[in-house]
Amino acid sequence: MKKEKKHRLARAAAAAAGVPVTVFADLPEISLSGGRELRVEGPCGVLLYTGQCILIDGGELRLCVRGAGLWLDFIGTQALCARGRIDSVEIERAEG
Amino acid sequence: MWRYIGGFVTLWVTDARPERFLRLCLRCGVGVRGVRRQEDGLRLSVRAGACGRLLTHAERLGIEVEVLRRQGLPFLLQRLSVRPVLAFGLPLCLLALSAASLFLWDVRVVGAEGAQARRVLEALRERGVHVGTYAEGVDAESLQNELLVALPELKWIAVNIRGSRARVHLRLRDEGPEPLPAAPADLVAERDGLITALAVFSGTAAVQVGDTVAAGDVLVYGYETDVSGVRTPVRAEAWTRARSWLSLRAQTDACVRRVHYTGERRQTLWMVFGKKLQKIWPWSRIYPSEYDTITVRESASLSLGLLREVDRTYTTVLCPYEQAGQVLYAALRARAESIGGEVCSESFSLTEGESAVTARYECECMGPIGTALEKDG
Repeated sequence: MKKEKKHRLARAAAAAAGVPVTVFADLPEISLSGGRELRVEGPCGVLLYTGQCILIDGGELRLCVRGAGLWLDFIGTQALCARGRIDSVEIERAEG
Repeated sequence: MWRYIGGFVTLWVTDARPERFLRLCLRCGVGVRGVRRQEDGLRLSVRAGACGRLLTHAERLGIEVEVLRRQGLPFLLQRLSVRPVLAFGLPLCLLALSAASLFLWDVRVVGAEGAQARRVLEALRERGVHVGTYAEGVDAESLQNELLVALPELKWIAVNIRGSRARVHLRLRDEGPEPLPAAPADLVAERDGLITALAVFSGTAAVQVGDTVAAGDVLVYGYETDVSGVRTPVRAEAWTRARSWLSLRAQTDACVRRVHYTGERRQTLWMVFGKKLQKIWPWSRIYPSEYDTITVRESASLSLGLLREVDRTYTTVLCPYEQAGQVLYAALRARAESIGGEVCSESFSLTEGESAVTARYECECMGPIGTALEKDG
């Protein structure tokens, strides 16, 4: 609840300042380059990894990347880079 | 690059849920690279420094991990440690290669071939530029100037030094046109004199040994006569010797200034490193107001050597009347020798005026007297 409030304040501040919300809140920033590379910057982890699906844990969000020949170029505590043919990226809201 | 220097280990995770190992890595703060799913496991690489810790934790958690390959500089050094000759030989070899790149290993001449190219290479060698010369020590500009003076057949020359290669680009002078045939001319006396020797090479002699001639008199006619009496014009040539008398005059101020060395000499030593000079001794000095410097370079090669400068202090002094006369005598005698040849006898007299000294020099000379006078038409 406290986290939700903090994120709400961060969103309001970001909207007022006209900057991305990641400046004020510790949220993952997702970027997709040409359907072959996906980068997540911010706190993240890997829940599931197969050649066709990667389930990324981004705190409040979960990211499900589907495709073929997927592989993880780099995984760190603050960044992740997945490569391969990306067919879809789904965002799931974590329960609670 | 940094990854290679630090070293990295490729692991093979054969656990039923290999994601557990990825989470373990993140929990330990270790980044993972190149994660690829294969049929029966996960292949990934981590930095070498964290590998031991990760394997310990994985064993405790029951995750099956196998080391596939160790790569990078630390492992290379570890392997080389059992071969010390190779371990020391490789850096030594690299060091020798980098040191060798400071010297010239290829000196070529572009624009000339054969004997001419060899002559240029020989001239370069005489000036210390050859295979094995320290490249930085070669002053290309002064070398070009020296070669242009030393080899008159060169039109222009450029010395380019790139790394260990020296390229000497040059152009040779074009051969001049064929000289024109000599125009017919008489040989005439350029001053009054008494002929003491005459050897005619071409033309017809007009005078004999013992004859007295005035300036402008013909010594050898510019023609030759064949047996039938036909005259063919030629350029008269002869070796002549004549006794002649000269009278010269010169004037100067009553007093002249002359350099007088005080005998004080000071030496400065410089070390030469390529194109740079470093003073060795003395570090500082107060220079006199009037001095001249003699520079002597003593060097084994162009790159390294010793430079010695000797400063001689002098003063200028006003010379009295007699010394002014000595100056005039030396000047007049030199002029007489240039006109009449060897001086056989001489007389010199000085007349002192109010503000000037007048010198009169008379001499008897022995030397060549003939000069060519081309015929009109």
